[in-house]
Amino acid sequence: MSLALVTAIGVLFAVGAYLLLQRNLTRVLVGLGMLAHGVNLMLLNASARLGSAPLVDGREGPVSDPLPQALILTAIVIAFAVTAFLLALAVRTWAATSDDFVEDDFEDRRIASASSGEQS
Amino acid sequence: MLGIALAVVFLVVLAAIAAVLVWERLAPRTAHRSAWLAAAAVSGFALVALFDFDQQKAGFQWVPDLGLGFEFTLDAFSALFLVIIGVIGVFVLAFTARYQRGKAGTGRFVATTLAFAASMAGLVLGSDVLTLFIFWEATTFTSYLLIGHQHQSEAARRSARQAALVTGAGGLAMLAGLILLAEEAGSTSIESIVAAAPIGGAAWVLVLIGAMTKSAQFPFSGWLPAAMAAPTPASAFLHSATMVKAGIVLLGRLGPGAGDVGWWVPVVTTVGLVTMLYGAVKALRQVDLKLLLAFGTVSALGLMFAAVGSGVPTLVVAGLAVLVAHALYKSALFLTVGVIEVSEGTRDLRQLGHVGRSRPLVAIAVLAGVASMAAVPLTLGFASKEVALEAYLGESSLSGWLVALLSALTVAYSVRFAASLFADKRAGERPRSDRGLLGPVLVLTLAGIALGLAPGILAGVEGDAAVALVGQASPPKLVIWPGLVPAFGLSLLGLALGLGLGMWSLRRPDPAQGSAQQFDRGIERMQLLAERVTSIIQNGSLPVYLGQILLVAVVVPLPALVRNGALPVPPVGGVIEWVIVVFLVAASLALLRVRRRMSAVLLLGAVGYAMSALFALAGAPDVAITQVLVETLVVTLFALALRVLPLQFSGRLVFVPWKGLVAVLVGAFAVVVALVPGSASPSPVSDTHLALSVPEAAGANVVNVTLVDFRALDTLGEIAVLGIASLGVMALVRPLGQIVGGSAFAVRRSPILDRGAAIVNPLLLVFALYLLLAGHNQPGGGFAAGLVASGWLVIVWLSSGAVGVRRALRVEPSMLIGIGLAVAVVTGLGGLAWADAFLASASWSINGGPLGEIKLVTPLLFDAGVAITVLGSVAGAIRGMEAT
Repeated sequence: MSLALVTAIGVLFAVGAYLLLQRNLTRVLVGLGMLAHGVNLMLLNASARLGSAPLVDGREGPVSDPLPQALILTAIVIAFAVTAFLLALAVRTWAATSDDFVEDDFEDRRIASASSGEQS
Repeated sequence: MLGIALAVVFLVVLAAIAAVLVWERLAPRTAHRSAWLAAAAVSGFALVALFDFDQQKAGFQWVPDLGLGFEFTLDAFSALFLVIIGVIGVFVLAFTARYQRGKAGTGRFVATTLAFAASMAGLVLGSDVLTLFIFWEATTFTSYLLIGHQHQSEAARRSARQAALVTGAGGLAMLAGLILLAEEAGSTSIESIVAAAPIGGAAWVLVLIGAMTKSAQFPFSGWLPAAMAAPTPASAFLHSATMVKAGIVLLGRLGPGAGDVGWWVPVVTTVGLVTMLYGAVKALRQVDLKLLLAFGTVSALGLMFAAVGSGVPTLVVAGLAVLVAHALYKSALFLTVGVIEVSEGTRDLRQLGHVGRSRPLVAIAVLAGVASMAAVPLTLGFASKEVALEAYLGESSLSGWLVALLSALTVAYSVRFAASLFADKRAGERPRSDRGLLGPVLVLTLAGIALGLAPGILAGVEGDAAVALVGQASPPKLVIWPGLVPAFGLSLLGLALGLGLGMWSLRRPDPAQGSAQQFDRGIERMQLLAERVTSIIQNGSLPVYLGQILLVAVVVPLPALVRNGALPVPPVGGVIEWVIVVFLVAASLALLRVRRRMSAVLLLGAVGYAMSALFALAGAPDVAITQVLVETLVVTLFALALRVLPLQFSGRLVFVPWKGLVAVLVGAFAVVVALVPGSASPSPVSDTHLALSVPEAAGANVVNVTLVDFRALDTLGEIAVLGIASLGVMALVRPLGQIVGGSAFAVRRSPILDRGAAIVNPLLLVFALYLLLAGHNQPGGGFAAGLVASGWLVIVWLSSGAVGVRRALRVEPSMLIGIGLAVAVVTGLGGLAWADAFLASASWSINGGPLGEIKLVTPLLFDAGVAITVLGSVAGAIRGMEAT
């Protein structure tokens, strides 16, 4: 754990969240990638100790905690899969609407306006 | 012994249910006779009660690890209830056999009634709160089916729904309360809970709510009158004699444990007496005989609730006496109403004035039942009401007077009930045949009269039942003539008052507004509220939804996170670390300003490379390698997608304050999580991994060993997800090739690239193979190997296009994914062969001659599967994207 790492975590999460809250799918996608980076750093931060690579080869000195590394490795690959899938969705959305822009959900809008219509 | 007896009875009941249903299917015209079979089965419950009930226990474990099991105890209290269930059940079913003649759905009705009887028996026998709860819910369910028996009728369905909603919600509240009590007492057994006398206020409130809904206490009374939509035998059985007393059973069992809760007795007494008043006043305004009886039941339940729920010995005894008397006279009266309904075709008391004269036997049944209900001397109702009055006078004169005055209201609605049947002097139309329905009713009535003349018979049984609940109690003084005691005086006063009030009420025979409408309005209001809330929080905007999710995720765990006070200040970190972090932060912030998609993608890539630098610095070479490779592929995929998507974003990123606030909160939350003490702790799991890596898995790279051996099942799941995502990409994008008429990427052959590729490509493949083979002991592994091979594929594609890729791969990407997964799964299955566990590893050393000793490990094969799946997935994604 170090101040540098914690700073990076905070910035990655904040920027990731802000981009996630956009309507442009490409930005959402980038935001998701940033959040994934933030989570991975957080896992690294949770390491019991840092040191040399966790190779059992008779070297002296502290060895890094291997478990978070295994988790991060898994997370990186899964994030890659999700990114590829979302990218395909963005391309598909563009093909359908000529933009990769998330519109309001029509059905939800209808329910909301039906309810407010009853109130008046 | 008890266990065997119970098992036999429950099996007989189950068999009877099956028989009844088959009967209806085979011979619907005679299905009503199956009720006799049911009556025989139900009488088993009364027989079980004949056991020597010195706390006989039975039960079986269900989930022993969680302490879940079915536990039953046969004591005097459950025996008393079993007798009520058995005896009333027999009469009700005998009645049913005639009442249901020629009606459709008789088998269903009888079967449900039987199922109810079994549920109720389980409820009173349950000596474990979870057992009790399960049977409690079973009675709710069977009650729902019986109320809605005439399911073609909208009103019946509505009533069933109301009963199920009210008692079901109460049941859930009760479950929460019971769990809290069990937690505090450290056991789910009722005995231990009562002994522990928990003082958790919330727990007792929740339990009380459960009991109140089930026993129709004010303000949850509305469902009981509505439940009169059920066929009359069901009303007599469930909604007067047995099920509605479940709340009282619950309080009787647990009430003695509430002794240390200060508000318990006053609150239970108030609830009961208010219900008594409410039910009686409502009963006085009914014109439907059945509804009148239903509100009368609500009123009577109020008294029992107050008395039994208090846990005070004298009151519990009195409450039980009232309970027994009530079960007897109320079920008889309900059945009598059933007779009148069949023979006269109506239950409206304004049209039934002639019945008293034209049907003398019915008149006798009515008078005997009503006399007991109004507590006229020489009836069982009188003897038990005297006991109750004595008990309440013993508590305080105020409570005695209150009960006496409220009893006057009982007298009043009893008078209203009886007098209305004798109001008309002229004889009515000739009544239709009642098809022998009167038989069971008269037997029940005679039993009531007999017990009224010798009430002392019951004293011992009721006394024992009370002892089973509260430990020590003296049997009730059930006598015909109590002598000139204050309670008797109050009784006479009540009778006189009630007589006047009842006669007066007959002059105002206007039907009262049912509580059903109120319930429906309540439901409507709830739906309106739900719509309004929905329109606010679910306005259709995706950013708003995500913002809500993020806010909840950030705010809810915060109290738990900062519970331990100040956060520690971490060490500052090294210079190199800071240089990387500053670069990372700069790239991240720049992402908020960019206007071109390609710039955004490149910045994301920059952040990724900074990440891998951080990993390398932290002693995580495997992760660093993977991160670099993945980042390269992500940029490649984006580049492909950007051939379709416009280069510029459609608008600048406009700052929206609330989004900024959420983002800052999320960032701050992440910092807190990272800093909270305990988020990084010495992990014994890792130490085990480090220690076991070489001896158990024959690998020196612990990260790789973790992925392909210790946690190989996770990895198998992960590559499956990867493959599925890739198939998804292909399915989503490939058809677009036709839709947008995209040209297959026109390859501009570049000689330099071609030459370069010719040199680099073989090296990449060799490197991938090396990573795969060495990965078990050195940084590398299947993921890295698959990704490097994917890099080779990208270069092939760049230099010679889709055709080149197809030529280089020879198989379809989806086939490659399948092969990779199959290799991994087959390796895992091999583990079953050599180590009796899926994915277990094994290693063999073979003499390689000049190469020295070669170690073969099965995880290597598994890792090959991983690498193939990764290659196939990336190939699929590229092929998909490339098709646009």
